[in-house]
Amino acid sequence: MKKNALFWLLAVILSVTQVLAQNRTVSGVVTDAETGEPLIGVSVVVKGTTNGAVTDIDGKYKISNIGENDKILEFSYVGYSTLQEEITGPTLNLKMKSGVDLDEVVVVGYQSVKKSDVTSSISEVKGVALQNIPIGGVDNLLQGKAAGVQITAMNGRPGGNAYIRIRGTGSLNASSEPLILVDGVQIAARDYAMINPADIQDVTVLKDAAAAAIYGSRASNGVILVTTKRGTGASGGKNFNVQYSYNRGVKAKSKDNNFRLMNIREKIDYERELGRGNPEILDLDDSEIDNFIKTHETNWFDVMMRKARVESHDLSISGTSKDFDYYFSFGSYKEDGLSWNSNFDRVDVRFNADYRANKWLKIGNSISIVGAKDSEIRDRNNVQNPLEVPYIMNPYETVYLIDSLGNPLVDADGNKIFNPTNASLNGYENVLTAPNHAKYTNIIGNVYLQANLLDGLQLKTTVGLKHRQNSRKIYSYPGVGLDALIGNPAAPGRVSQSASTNVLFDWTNTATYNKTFKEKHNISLLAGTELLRTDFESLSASAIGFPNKDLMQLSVASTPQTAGGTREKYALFSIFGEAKYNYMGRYYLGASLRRDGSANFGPESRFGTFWGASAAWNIANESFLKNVKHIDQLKLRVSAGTSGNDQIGSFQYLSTYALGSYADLSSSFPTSPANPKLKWEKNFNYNVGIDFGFFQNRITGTVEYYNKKTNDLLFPVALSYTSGFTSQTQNIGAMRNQGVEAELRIDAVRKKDGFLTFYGNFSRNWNEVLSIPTTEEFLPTSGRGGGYTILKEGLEAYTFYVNRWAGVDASNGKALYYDKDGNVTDVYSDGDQVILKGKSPLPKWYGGFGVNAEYKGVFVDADFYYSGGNYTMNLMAQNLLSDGEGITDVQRADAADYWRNPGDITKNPNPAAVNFTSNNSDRFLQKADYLRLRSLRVGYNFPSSILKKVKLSNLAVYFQGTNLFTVTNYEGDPEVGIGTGENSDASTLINIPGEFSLFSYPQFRGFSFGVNVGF
Amino acid sequence: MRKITLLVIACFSTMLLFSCKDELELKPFDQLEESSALVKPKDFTAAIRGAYSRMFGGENGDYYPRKMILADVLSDNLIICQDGRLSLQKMYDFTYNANSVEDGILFYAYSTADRANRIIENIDKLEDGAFKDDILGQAKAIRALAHFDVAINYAPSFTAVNPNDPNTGVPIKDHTDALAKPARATLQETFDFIVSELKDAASLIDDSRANVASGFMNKAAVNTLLSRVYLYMGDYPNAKIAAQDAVNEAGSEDVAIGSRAEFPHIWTDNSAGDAGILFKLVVTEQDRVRPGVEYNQGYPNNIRSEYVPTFELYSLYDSSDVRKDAYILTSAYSTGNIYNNVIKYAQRPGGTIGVVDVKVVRGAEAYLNLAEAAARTGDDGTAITALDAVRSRRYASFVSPNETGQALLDAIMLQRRLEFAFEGQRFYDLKRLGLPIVRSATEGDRYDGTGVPAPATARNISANDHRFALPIPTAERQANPNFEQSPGY
Repeated sequence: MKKNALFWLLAVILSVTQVLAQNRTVSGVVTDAETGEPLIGVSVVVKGTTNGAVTDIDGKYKISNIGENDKILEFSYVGYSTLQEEITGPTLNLKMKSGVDLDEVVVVGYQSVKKSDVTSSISEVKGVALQNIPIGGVDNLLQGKAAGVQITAMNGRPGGNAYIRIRGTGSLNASSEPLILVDGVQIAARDYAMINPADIQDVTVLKDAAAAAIYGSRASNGVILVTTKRGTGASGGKNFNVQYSYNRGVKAKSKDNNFRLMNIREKIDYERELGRGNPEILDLDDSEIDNFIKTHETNWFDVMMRKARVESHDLSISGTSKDFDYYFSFGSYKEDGLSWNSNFDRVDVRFNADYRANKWLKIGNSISIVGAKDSEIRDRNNVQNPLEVPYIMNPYETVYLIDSLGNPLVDADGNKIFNPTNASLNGYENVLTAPNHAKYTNIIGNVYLQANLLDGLQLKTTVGLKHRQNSRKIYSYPGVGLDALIGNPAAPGRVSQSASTNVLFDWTNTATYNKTFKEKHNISLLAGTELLRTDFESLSASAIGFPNKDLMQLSVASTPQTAGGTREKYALFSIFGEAKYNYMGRYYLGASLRRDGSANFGPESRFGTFWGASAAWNIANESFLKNVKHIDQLKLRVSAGTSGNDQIGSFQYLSTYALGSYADLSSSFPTSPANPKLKWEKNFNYNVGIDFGFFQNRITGTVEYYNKKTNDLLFPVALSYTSGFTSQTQNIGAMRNQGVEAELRIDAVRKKDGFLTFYGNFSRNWNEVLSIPTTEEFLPTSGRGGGYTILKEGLEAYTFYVNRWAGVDASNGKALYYDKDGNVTDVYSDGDQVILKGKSPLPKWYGGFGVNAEYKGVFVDADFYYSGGNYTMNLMAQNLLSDGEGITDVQRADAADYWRNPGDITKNPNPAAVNFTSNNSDRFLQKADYLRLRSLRVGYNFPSSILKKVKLSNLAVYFQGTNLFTVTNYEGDPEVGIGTGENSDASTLINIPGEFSLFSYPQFRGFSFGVNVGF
Repeated sequence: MRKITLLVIACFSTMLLFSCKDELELKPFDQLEESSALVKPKDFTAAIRGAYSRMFGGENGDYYPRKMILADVLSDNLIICQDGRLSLQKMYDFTYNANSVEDGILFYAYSTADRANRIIENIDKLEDGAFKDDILGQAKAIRALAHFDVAINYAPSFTAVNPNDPNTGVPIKDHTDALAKPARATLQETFDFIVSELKDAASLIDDSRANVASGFMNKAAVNTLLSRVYLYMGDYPNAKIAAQDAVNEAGSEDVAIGSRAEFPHIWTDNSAGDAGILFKLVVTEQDRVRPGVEYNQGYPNNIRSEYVPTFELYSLYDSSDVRKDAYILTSAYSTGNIYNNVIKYAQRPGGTIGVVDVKVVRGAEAYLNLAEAAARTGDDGTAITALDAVRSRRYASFVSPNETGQALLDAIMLQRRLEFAFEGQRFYDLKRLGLPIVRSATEGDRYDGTGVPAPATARNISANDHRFALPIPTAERQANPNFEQSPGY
């Protein structure tokens, strides 16, 4: 039925193509107002239609078939103010002024509006700011770019993701991630790295409800709209652009850390002094030590790490003609991570096209086809994680078994024999023999048909698709490494293979009506429907018994092991509408409404209705300010609205039984404690903001206050173990995020020879749990496996709740703690945990700042990011200063600073006095404030005088440093996303970014060289 | 023109109003709604299997596979191997607290009980008869065993407290309210529940349906468990009755105990007709549960043990004892150090390392429970007969010394230790009898008693030390503050 309707519509529209009358023709020349040079590629469009043209190399354009009622031409050009000129005759010449472009359009919701007409809180990031940086994913690239948008890399894994939080953590459940749409198609976190940053025209972040409400249920955590490049806009005409960059990472070394690990002699002394450790050390005679050191010293950083490398190529061809605009790109991105067998490769092509079939009909598409490969390491908290190995292996543990002279022992085949080490598994052997390779094919795109009917009425239907094919193979090579330890000697080696198909289908229909009455009253109406469906199917199989590592296909295996497969669907159907009005560009009013139905809730609470409203006063357009010098923009905005969240996974409202097997016969068991009362999480928020531009817009910026209250929070409430379940998802109470944001840009120098621009943004967020309906003092955030944080009324979400450290008893070397009442005790007990008010893993302030400068072609860009006010449980420090608990692993050098004699004032207790145990307490709860130089770029734009001779339109070369330095007091990397990949397992209710740090993937640090050539 | 435009608008409007309600009516593809999960008899059989499979404790083997080593780690049977990964070290060192205690048994035992509870709450969907009785019996036995496992770990023993004092037991979970926050019952109430459930099970279970190979409990297994429960309670007369019932139900002595020739096959899952086993959790190669990995990895070429037998225990095995080679293999690890490695769970012939069935109840236990209960109630005749039924199937050319009195009791307790070493019993035996844990100060972890001995602070755990009752994990106390912390933490 729905498909039929679409075809019918298409047929009707095509059949009327011939009917509409066309007549007039207008032509002219567009030049730069200051230099008088012709502007190439200016987009000229008959207002309210898709009829238009682009200026040629001489700045000339010509538009025919202009309807009788069409009176205005719109001229737009990047970097210039968009102008609207009345058609007075067959010729219309124009001079355009460069400068901050207030009339540039931004994508907001289902349509674009002029920047000056924006009444809600949005931030815009230009694609240029995201390009040529050796980071694969658009999420990580957005760090520090927009006020109110906090980006924390999960870790530094090639192709890895980031946590995105817009205006604080809006929800407590697993999904606090914003809705991300690429050209209107919703993408999931897994897809972020599938978008080529070079294709991005701009990114709009919708922060308040007035902007986001039109997306209803999916928008409670904000919306990020990514718009890819099209034929128009960029520079028009034909453009052929090639970019190449090569980045060489710095090999991670022990000395990169802001702490020091014990060297071989220190570690030997440490174990021997305490009389505890690895037997090979304790059994050594004093006389043997020197020789032992000589034959055994091993640098595990050198063994496990390699120089990371990123290489990227981008090629694009774009163009525009009378009725056709196109953008084609090809990109390849290849990243070799710091660890062996850790890579991310991506190859993508994109084709975006717009075809003006006739005066009122436009059809087009944006499609990208992406192929990617990714090799992941096992992000566990053990020796299987190659990045943790250097923090486990002692400097006296050799990679291979050696004889007394230090020569490696070899097996019958002459291969060196790996040393199983104290971890029982050689981390180096493991990373080489247990790889994990995945392949993806993604198709993301949409096709649209747009009809401009009547006066200002536009209908648009868009079919979007995201198709993701994924296959992964996890190997354990036969007879070596892990397989030798726990495999099947009669059937060695193991392959686990999985494949999945994930299809997202989105069909959106909108009708918009824009009209100006009496040249004063501007009205804009929008109505639409959207159907979103996802369908996920997977299969998996594993088998053992392989002859060798080169023949590891399932069909080769001697013994099949497991077979699995599943399917999951989700659907969302919405109806929405929006109305906007403004009077002479001075007074604005807007409202929107959306009704969503989600399959994640039971029939009774399935539908939710969300609304947004906004008002603005553009003071700069008032007559009394029109003639005031130095005030170019001044706009006051207020908005309010609601949105919702249904991202809790399927069928949590339904009691279900899963099927499995026991003794090779079928079994069944309950899956989760259903909550039939589940309903939408809703939030209400309001926003007050002011936008300004002074001194010919040399100083521009925005200051905003927001207040976002989330009700009926969806949260996996920890259940008593006696229930047999870890948690039940419930709607539990309310939370508020309020804060201020500021963005400021100063064009300090704007000269013909060069410019100097400073920019920065600052966000401050206050989070507070308003109510938690529990009869207990607080709600824990973790089920089995324990956590460090709680939720309590009146406090920040995830406030730490741990025992308190009181130092070391100078008389006996014991560890001291505060009991619940604050008395010092040497007994560590359950029940002495206290709520550490004000300490939570949520950053309180963050932002970015930087400088762009250019003088006679030489340019310098520096980009900083800062974040702070949050605390992280530093489990890395606890593992490395473990008071003897981890004495068989390498320790930090300052672990040797322990109490020895009465009166000693030391940082660490005496390991023997604390029974070689280390307890969780705030001893390792550390402030995670930091400032990081994300990128520093120095380059040269060749002047056009030279380029003309070699027939190039532009040529730039640059050198770049990434993550060059970090200022922090945190012991380790303060940017903590996930502690370790393992903490996302079932024992943890939710991922709280930054709750604790373990040994996850470090950030890329390196140097780049890049070339950018345009023809 | 106008007409066409209107037509287009009309068309579009209908699309806008198009309702897609049907799209939102989704059902899971790989799960059953609860209402249809327990309807037919086969559904109930599948649900019983689902409850048994929960005793694995997930992919990490957190319940029975862990319990099979934990009760020996927390005792004088095992010593930590310095060449191992030092797993469970805090348990071995008795330095665990509410944040660091092993919590798998607590969680998975209650989860197992929950699965049984759901079956019991729906039991009346079955027609009355032998099938219904058997399902109900299985479910009751399962939740009794689960509660017993919680009680012996997380509550003090009968020798340590007055069993009628409040909060001495553990929460009884005999319903499926997931939001309940039950408090501890008294120790007596806890065990009364366990006993009554096991008694019901013993009368309900249909042995023609419950065979060992299917991984279900039979009457003999339930009665052996019941006798184990009574022994734990110090109720020896009832222990004797239950054990006698079990012995009577367990078949011939050779089948129940396993002949000397058959004994090694018990541990490689190929004893004829599951001789020697009354109830086992069936672990298939596909289950990815590896009970043996708790003890060591790298079998057979380069065994790396996590824990090895204490030299004291090792020395108690006579060379004529079939258990010695079935349980222990002395071999060198690649560091050159030689250890006595526990190979009770090494692997099946041709199977994956560490994958074997978990033997939860063995016929030998029925006999040794009977022997102990009889000896403690002055019936030395029954005791020596039961004891010798076991001894004669373990030692070559066994001649009974015919002990009586204390010597007999000592002999029974020795055989109990030798027979059930590394089988998750030792800690509970010491605990129920109010005995201390005594570890050698001089004997180390290597095969000849050299190497590193147990740390000084973990050598002597006095009788009824508070650490005999494990702490309730902090996470549980936060989710359910009614579950009072074990004393001393």
